[in-house]
Amino acid sequence: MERTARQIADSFKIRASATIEICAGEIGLTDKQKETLDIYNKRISDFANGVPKAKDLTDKQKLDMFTLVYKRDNPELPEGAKTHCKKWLKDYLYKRREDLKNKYVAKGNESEEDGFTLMALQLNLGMVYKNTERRKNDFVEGECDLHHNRVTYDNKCSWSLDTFPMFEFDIPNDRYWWQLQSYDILWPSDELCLCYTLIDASIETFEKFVKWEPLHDARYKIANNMIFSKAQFDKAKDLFFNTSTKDSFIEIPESDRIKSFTFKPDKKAQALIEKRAHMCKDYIYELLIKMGYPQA
Amino acid sequence: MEIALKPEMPTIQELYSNPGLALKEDQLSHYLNQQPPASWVKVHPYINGYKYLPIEKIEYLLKKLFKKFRIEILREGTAFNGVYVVIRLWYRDLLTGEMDFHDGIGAIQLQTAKGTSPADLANINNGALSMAFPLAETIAIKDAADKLGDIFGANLNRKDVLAFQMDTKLAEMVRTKEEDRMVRLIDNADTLDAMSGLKDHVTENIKHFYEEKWNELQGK
Repeated sequence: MERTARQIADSFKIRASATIEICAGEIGLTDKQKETLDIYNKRISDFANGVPKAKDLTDKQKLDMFTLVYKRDNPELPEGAKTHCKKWLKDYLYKRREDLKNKYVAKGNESEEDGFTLMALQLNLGMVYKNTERRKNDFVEGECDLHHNRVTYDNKCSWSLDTFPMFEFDIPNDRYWWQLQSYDILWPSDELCLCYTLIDASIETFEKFVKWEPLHDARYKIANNMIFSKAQFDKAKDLFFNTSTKDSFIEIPESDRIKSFTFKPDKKAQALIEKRAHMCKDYIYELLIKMGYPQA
Repeated sequence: MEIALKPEMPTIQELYSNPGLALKEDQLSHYLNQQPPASWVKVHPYINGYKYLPIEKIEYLLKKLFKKFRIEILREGTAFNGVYVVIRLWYRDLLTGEMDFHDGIGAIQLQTAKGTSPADLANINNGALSMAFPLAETIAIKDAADKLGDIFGANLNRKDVLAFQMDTKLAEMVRTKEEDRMVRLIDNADTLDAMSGLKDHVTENIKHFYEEKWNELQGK
């Protein structure tokens, strides 16, 4: 039986990893626009009250004011969120979801468990197990990496030394801050921890990247950026660049191969996530009605 | 008199040089030894009760499972009143990514005019040769493919076949990433208190690591 527009729209939930796509951007007036609207209102009031030298708005300003008032009273989702909703609807209606596949995702999947081991050792967590439960509520869904002693952890395995935020002191990517705020809705926590880990590429992954590189010195250079422990470097050297004359490899200790950013759950941000999710449901409902789906 | 002591023999699983790979190979064998869908299996029109998988299903499976395969004709010739073809079926090994192969042989008699003896080479039909060689090649491909496992029709016409069983001991022997993590944590633990915190997570595979470390710390 065909589902109604309301039923379909209500099944929308924000995926934790895509939270930023829904929550980015302003709804209603920007600060600058609010300021402009206040100025227009004051001018109208001054003019009406006969304040000396007060002038009425020009036609252009009146039109501008009308647009601002309309925008204030009819808040719309930002374009990014609308795009996300349209994509979600296509996936939902036609049962298609594009799997994200690239070298970064592949390495993330391959190194995930080793990342947890590094976290367990360096953050003194004791034994930890990857969370395999997917949780959802009315408006958000996701699967956090680890939830341990009331802290929710998200592990990001960096692709290489170049992309590892060793010297960053603020979260390098807001996307992950938002992702963890969504997880906190599902796994209430005292703290949230975004953890970057730098894990050796496996021999199989390394082989894929040096397969078309015939020069052993060049392979050495690639290994330097993908492998960080001496044992794994020596193994790769034996297999793929044993004639290289280079000798610049410096082992990076495990303590330097983890960078964590801890922060508190932000209830305001989480309220925004909920509000935006409901706006998305309404937007999807509108789209379905326009497509001719029954209302209820 | 000297008594010969029976040496402590390793288990077969302990002899694998790469147990992780051996486990994967075992898991692959599990897939390759599934029965083909019943609707794919045909009965030969002329050989009573002889079951086979049509070549298009074999090729479909080769493409689906190995993604890359190719057929090399090693040799062909005539034998008695027919022809034979020997092929090498190359396929990309899923685990190593290397090309590997199985050989296969196929033979078929030359078609002679209706009512004449198959041995009567004077009555060979027009086009009999050009039909016979591709047919022999097809049979050879099937012959090579069924060495890959039951899913390619390996045991369709055999009786009392032993179904493939995965090596459960091997699966137990291969340490999981979680067990590796535990080994690292045990290695790092420097007090009996820290060890106690890990106790609930010790599995059979890593019990000896735990006990060794516990004894070491107790002796301090």
